[in-house]
Amino acid sequence: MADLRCQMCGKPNPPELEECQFCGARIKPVLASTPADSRPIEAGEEPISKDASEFEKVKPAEEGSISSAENESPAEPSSDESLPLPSAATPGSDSSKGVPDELSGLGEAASEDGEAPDWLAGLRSDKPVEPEPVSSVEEEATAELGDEDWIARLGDEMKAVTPEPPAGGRSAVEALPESASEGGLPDRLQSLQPSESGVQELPAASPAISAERETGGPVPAENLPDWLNQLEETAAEPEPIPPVGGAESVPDWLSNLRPESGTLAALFGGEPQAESSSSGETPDQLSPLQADVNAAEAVEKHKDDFGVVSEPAAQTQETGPLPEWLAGIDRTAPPSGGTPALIDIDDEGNPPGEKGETAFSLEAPDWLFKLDPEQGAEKGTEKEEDQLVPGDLESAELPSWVQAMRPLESVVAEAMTAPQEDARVTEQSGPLAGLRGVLPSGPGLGPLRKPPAYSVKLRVSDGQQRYAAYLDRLVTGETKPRAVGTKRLTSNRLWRWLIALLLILAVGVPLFRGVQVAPETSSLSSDKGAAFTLISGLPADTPVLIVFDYDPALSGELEATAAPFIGKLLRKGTPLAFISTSPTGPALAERFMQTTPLVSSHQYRRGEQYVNLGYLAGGPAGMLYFAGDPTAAMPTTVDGKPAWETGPLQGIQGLSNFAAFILLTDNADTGRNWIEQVGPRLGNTPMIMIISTQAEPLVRPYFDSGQLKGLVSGLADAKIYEQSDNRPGLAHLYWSSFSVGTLVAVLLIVIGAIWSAVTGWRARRRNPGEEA
Amino acid sequence: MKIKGVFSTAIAIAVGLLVLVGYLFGYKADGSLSLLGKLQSSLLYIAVALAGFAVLVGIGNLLLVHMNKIRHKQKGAAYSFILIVALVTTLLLGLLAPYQPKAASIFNDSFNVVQLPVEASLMALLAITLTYASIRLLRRHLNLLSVIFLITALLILLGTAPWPFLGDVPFLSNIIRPFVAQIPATAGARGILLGVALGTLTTGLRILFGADRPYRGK
Amino acid sequence: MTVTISADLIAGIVSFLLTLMILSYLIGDNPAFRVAVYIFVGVSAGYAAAVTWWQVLLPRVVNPLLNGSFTERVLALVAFILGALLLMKLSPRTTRLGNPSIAFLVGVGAAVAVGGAVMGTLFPQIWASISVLDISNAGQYLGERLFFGVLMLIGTVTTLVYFHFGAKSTPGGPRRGKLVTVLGWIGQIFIAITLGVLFAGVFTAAMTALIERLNFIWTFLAKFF
Repeated sequence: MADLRCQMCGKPNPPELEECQFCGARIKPVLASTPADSRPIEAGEEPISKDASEFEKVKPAEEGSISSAENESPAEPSSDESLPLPSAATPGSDSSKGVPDELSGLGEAASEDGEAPDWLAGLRSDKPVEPEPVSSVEEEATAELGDEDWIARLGDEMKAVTPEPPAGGRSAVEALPESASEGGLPDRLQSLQPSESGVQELPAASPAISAERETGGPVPAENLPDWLNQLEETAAEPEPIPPVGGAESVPDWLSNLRPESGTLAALFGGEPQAESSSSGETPDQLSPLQADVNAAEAVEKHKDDFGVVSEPAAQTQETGPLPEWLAGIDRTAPPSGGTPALIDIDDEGNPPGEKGETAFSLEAPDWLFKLDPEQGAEKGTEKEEDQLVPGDLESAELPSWVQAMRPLESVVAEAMTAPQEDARVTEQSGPLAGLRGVLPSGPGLGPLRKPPAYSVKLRVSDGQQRYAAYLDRLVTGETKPRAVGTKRLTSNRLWRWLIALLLILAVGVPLFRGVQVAPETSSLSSDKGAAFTLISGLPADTPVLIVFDYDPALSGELEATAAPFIGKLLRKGTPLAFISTSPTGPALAERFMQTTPLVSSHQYRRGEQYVNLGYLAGGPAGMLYFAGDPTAAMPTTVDGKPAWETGPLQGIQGLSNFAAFILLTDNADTGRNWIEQVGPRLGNTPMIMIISTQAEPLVRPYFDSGQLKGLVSGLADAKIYEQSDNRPGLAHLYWSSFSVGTLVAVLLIVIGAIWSAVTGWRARRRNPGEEA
Repeated sequence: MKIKGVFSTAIAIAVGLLVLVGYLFGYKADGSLSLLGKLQSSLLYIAVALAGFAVLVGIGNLLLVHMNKIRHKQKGAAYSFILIVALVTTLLLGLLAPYQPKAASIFNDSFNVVQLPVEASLMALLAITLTYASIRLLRRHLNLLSVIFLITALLILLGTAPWPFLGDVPFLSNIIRPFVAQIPATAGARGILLGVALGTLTTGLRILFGADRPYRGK
Repeated sequence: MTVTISADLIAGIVSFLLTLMILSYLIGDNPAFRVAVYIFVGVSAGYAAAVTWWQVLLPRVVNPLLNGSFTERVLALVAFILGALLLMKLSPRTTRLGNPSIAFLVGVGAAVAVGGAVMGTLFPQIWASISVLDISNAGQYLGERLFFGVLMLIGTVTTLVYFHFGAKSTPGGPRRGKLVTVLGWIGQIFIAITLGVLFAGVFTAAMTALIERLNFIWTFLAKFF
């Protein structure tokens, strides 16, 4: 069995529980059970479609007393002559009309039959009463309560309390039997003899009741409500009210309606069973009840909205003694789906009062039976214009809304219906266990209306299902270790190792073996020989300023590139001056002069053939400072000796006094700074740059603009110059390795790029959402 | 209106304007320094000296960071200890170099033995890393610009290095490579340089006008 | 074969080991690589500090303060005071005291950068961009020079346009104009070519470094075999 969902917190609970295990709210509402379906209605369950006419087949003559009716199984609504209960109502049926489903068959029955049922016919006078379609809930509700028999008995007992029914229309009480069955009142109401009219007066602030209580006797007919008078006249035979199926169908208040009980007084706040004590009752005493009745009225109106679950018939309900004026009424009043009132009824169908009073039993007070017609006259006159004297006038058809406005009928009907609901309900659990008439639990003190039928089946489209499945895959995939990822990491490392091995072999084998696999180059140099030409034309005795502004990382390339040019200068005996804007520059310069082939062989000595000015701090600012006044910017050498007064730099005042300005750098920004700061101060001194290939693209524009007179870039240019000078150096040593290594790298890049492009395209095609 | 760091801002603007003016009016007709030129030269002298202090600040910060790492026993504190030992040893050797020839020798060798091999080895690793990265380039970014980038690089490489046993390919070495390197690449580089220069001009002027004050700190 | 243990040998061994430790990164990150890197950083920092002291601070600050002329002393004093304030940057509590020194450096640097950018790059490069169309002495290479000149001009302009990020606000969000978008797209192609040449240059330089290192290893090992 599916879990029950709590209406308060929405959490599922086992079906056997009656209260939510999480929040303590009641799961199974305490409502009247249907005879046909004793199991409670579960959350989300489709309401069971039932024809209200099923509950109309009550044959009062056949079903016997209320007790017998209560002992019947409630599972056979068709044979059950009990009045339909809200729980068994078909949802939506006749709801548009505002008619509760359980009462929906009333009109049908009436229309089908075309005539009033027998019990009702007995209540009526000779005047034909047109079957009025039940449009008011109060009418329907009250129609359930009883038939004309007990109403007639009510009228006999009370006499004065006879508000005439509306002309042409059925009173709520009169309409009741139609909802019960074709035959007449339910069994339980059959025992409610004969003062039916008194029942109608019970919960109402009826002037007729008040009058009776005051006078202590019956109220004159002319002072009684028309409907009650009509009941007296038309109630020819007390027809047995068909028994209600199950004791729970007998409202408690009805079971307590005994002339001698007078629990109505208790309900009204007065002494129970005190007929005489009710003499002082005023309508004001009943006015508090009016609100309750009206509320019950409203509940009855929205009976269809209730997912009311009626409790099994096994629940016993105590009933109190019937009031005096209801003593003869057959306790087979049809149940209603209204708000259970404070009246309970014995499950066994005992009339109220027989088993003693309960706390919430309702009995007609004694004064109700002693109402003097004169006492109720003034109250009755208030409604005189609304009511017809039975027998005098032809009963007219009142519109439903007018019928609905009749307070007395509706109040009595609600009071009579509500107790029936309450009579079937006994709280089984919780703090109110054992009490009857407890409002059904649920959010907001019980469902005030029938909840809309929402299907629990989620309507999911195909696209939504795909998304849900995709999301599920994503979520579950998060927790699962990805074997693909691990595999990819391993393969990446292997590829890296393979590439490294191939490159090292490609570079190392020619180097280790000393094999020349690459022939001489025939390319043109980057500057088309400009630097070579310039250097060749420099005077031999004029110092040349060389700037060592490259990192030790690229010392191999720069040393190989610069060696042919510097060596040429050294062959001429040109004095040199070194400077650097890097702390490691002076060391690089020394290394270049002492270890580089083509240079070290000339054995230039520091201080004699070349001067190392050292480290110039400040970056561009230092360059500008040096450009403006080099003697002031670098007054001493790395040895601490004066640089410009003696030695190679003697007589040099400014940069323009140098034969050439040669910049060795691997950084394009450094080259740009030197060009920007020093260039304008060089005058006619040519600026030559010997750079790494990585700086060439951003330095070439300066060569194109004429700011540089010569540009030597990388191993290729060095090889060209070595060839032209016919002096092999480092470029020649590295050439084969450079050739093979570059070709292997190019092949690896081409093959690998094509493979990567294809696999990446396939991966993107397979998983559009993922990035390859 | 209170302006924070008025003194610093005034220094920056004044010094900057003086140096800038020296660009225009710093030299006389005969090439010697004018008054503005000498003023500019003095300011540059102070800047060069301050640059030396800035190098000390940087090294001191490095020392403090690693000393804190050791003090707080953070992860990698052993490596920090090695760094500090190397730093202090080298510094002491350098400070003693003029007075101790052996110290000077060791100090000078520290460059050839430690700095140069390590930096050169790191650069050698780059060759393998760049090869691997270029292989995976098209796997991640397969678009027109990536293809152009890769094809250009391959053409330059094939035009720079000779082919084993074949030598230079004249079409690649003498036509394609020079054309690509000297025309479109230079055009693009010039545009980049102009953009950099314009940006430098804008930023420098903002600083000289006091609009930007990067020296205010926190 | 006898090998004399000399300073050169020791230096060679240390260089060799450090080279291998760095190249071991090909296998993966390992403690040997980290040790080599940390030693390198420490030695580099110590070396730079020593060089800075001997070649910058001593001759420009200390010696002039002690032995210089009045002008030199004034300048040295100013430099010393600003330098001392700059050293306050080491401590978070006194860092604000170094702001004037930073301001001095920033002001000088900005002026130098502005002057160099204008005089050394902007004017000459703009002039060079225009002068490529100078066909006065083109001779027989008129067409070639014109074609190359136009191509370079287009490349320069479109590259500059690409870096223009001004946009107009439109209902669909900020967007560049159509002309700017088209020209920027062309400039992207030129930039891609430039970066491709740059990449080839970096690779060539790295390849040369690899050759140099392998040559060193081989040379060192050859001493013993």
